[in-house]
Amino acid sequence: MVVLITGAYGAIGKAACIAYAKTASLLFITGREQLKLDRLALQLQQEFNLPVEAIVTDVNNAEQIRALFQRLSKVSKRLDVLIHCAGILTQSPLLMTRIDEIQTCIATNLTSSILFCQQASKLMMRNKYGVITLVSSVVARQGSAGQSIYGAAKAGIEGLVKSLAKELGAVGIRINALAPGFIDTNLVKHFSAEEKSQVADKTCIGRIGQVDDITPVLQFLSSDGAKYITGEVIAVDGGLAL
Amino acid sequence: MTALTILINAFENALELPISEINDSLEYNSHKKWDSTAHMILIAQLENDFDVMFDIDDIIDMSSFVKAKEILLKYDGKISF
Repeated sequence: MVVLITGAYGAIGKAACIAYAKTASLLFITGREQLKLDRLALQLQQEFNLPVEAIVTDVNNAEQIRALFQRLSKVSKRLDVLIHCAGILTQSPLLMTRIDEIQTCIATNLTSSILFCQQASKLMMRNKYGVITLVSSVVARQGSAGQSIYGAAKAGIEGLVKSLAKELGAVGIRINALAPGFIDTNLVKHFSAEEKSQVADKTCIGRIGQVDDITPVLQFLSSDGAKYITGEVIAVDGGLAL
Repeated sequence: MTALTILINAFENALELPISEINDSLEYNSHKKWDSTAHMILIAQLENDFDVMFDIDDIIDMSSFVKAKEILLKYDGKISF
């Protein structure tokens, strides 16, 4: 199984890398910083005795995405699983959000998802098999003050998943999205302990999420156990959206 | 195997057409088997068989068997049809 994980050294991306390293035959990981990527690749190679290709890729650069897939095609000729974790959180009231921040947020979260789906699906079609999992957010459906652009971009991902499921199902490609709730990662490090506690109180489970809550669902969605699931957005939020 | 044979085989596999129907008059959407889904499969097959990666403009532009030959020549000057 050939797996590509973007945003590989982010909290969810790294956890996904470790989870897939146990089952993949070849792992491609991407991120913007060479050093972080190389460190992670080395760790995965040593710990799991697995070939890992670390390719620096800015998901806002279409040429770099194209080069990544050219490399992927050359090395493996196939891609079975894409986990697109790369993304950013833009937090500011609408009236205080500059155009460049809006464009960067949309590009990093939504446009990159479209471009990765475009390239990945082309490669997956060669074998008429593939599974794509994008990362949305609880904010797409529930909204969050100060996160309107982020919410719009993530809602776009959910629309993308629905239409692409219809478009790609006939060629053996499934696509779903995961919608994490409040997960304890660097994206929310600016929240105080008290704010985190308030969020925890809003969940049904009574705690904020950990990356370990996410990875089993990612693995399930790309497994044969989910072979009849496509076009879905799976919330992993402890009931926060209820 | 010649480039033309590889190309014909790619069309045969991707569009599920008999070889007798694969010729210079074959055009996208003019044959019921060459629809948008088959087109995606054809592109993937050609990229695999000719070891190229098409630009989006060329994927859109690949509207006939003749056009496919023209576009492939652009990517690989060493082949001939």
